[in-house]
Amino acid sequence: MAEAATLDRAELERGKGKSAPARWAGFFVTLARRKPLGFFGLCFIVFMLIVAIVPGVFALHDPGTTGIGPRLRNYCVGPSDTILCPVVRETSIVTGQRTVTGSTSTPLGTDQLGRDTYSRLVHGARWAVYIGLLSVTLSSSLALLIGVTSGYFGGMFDAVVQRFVDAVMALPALVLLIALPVMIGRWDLDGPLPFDDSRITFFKLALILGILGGASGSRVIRAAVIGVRSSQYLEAAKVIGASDARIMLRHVVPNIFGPLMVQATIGLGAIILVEAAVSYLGFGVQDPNSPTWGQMLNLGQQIASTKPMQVVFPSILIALAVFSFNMLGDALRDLLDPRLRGAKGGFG
Amino acid sequence: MYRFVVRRMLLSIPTLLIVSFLVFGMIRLDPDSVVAARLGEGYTPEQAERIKDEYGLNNPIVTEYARWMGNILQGDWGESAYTYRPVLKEMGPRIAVTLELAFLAVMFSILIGVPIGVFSAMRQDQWPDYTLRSFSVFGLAVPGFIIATVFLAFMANQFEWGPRLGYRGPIDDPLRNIAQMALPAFILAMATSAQVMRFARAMMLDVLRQDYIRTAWSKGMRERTVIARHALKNALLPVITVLGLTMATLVGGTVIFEQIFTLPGLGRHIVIAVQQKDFAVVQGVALFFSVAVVFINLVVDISYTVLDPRSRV
Repeated sequence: MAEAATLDRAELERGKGKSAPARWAGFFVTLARRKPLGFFGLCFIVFMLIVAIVPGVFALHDPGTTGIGPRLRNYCVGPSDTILCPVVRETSIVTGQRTVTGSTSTPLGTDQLGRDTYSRLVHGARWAVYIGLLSVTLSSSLALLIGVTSGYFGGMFDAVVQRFVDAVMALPALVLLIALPVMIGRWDLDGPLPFDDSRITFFKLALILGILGGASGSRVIRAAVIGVRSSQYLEAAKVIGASDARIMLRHVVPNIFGPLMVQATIGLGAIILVEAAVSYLGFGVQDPNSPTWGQMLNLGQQIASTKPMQVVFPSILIALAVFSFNMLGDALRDLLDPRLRGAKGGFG
Repeated sequence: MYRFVVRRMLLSIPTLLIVSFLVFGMIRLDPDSVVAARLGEGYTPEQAERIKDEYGLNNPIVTEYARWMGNILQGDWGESAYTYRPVLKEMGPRIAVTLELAFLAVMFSILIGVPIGVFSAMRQDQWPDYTLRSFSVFGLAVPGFIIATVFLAFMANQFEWGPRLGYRGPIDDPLRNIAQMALPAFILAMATSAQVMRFARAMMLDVLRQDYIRTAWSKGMRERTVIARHALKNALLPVITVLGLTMATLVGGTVIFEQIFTLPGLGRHIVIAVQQKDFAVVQGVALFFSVAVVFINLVVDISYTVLDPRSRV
């Protein structure tokens, strides 16, 4: 492993002095060669971004149009919000026109209202990317702010801030994500923002995810800052009379860029996962015309006994997205900063 | 060591205070929504004022917090707005369900993760190692609730099988209780056991390279003796820390797994409470969960120091 690390470094060093595009290309080649799983993750993420930017190109139908496939009428004997509810096969009655699953028009079948699953999945990438990017921007800025100041100043300030971070990290994330948007529910009725309900829920979720992620991310940033705090170039900067703010911005922040990127990448995976869990529980973004993957999972498990694939398709996408971000994060960690390497002999 | 334990315990006091303050503050973020949750639509300003007085929303936050904290410490966690029963009474039997689920999940992750990790380290870079490590990547990548949902969808479609309704406690019907709890606990443990496995493997590899293990080998001992008598003890201690870190994930996991498998635990309780806008219950469960996490972290840190003499320096 040690040899591999030095090799990675050597390959990265070799890129120094070249133009920026050449350096980037060199980085991608290194990534592809050394960390194939990480490279796969990057490819999937880029693909997801493209799909999220232009879903119309990929989608075959409007995601909100009903009646493309057969409608299922569903009725339950058990409590309506449980997995038990849909299990009885006979209670799902097919009405309307039957469309064969796997036709060219609906390659992945349709859901209970006859909406095209493929097009809905394509549009679902949009929410995943939106919520991921907004929350990770928030959480990274927060982590940077808390982590750098706390690690740089240390002492009493650090001790106090870290107790707050401890406290926020102890809060149960999923509980807050389902409870807080309801508790601050009035914001969407007479709030200043002229958005519809699902957008408001989206902003609330992103805000909560950003704060929670910022707290845990600040730990990693703080550790990295403490790592560079005693280095000579910081002392030199202090000696020539640079202010604290200048040292932090010009000398500390650029040197912890690697851990920050790693943290953001892994955080994105966690955010997509948690968002899916919240939507699955029925508390997430609820837009009938543009579903999230978690919401599709929720709808899918209601008809799991007749159409199990409607559960499988969104599951695959959520798992792939989480997997891609985790693998890319691990690969970046190994390539950018060998000191931060976690468990030895990790894949990808 | 004694000093460390005391210091660590003292450090968790401010954390607990801040946690409780944050949970207390949840309800004050938007007083109007509290009033709306109690009165529904179309209430008069006088009614709103009465509800605000009842919740103490008009008083300064500091005095209210002190009063709330005093009540919490005396066992008065408020009253459910839906059943009008004390929150603590409502939570009581449900805590047991969640604890059982979490405990079984931890057991499963140790029972699966540790042997696989150790075995994987013993066969480093041979095909068993690669196979087992791929499984751990799968366990880490695919979220537990997705495995559970896909599994239940498959069972419902192929065998018309679903988890049975009606929870039975471990005392009045132990067999059925285990039958109900084993599956959710097992799937919940998959991600955790993958983490435990990775960590146990790394620790084992570290230990296997040390001199005293080479000595044991050179004495002509069997592989079983070397691993069981000499290597395991030192390799497994740090695994405790991973278990501690995953406990926070498990808390979130129980919320969603209790929902999927309809187990009447705290997680399902809070989901229903949010749907009913029963904020006292939400606060109660959130407080319980966060205090539990702080407490687990404390226990893990202390037990690690007590068990590993090297960390006492």
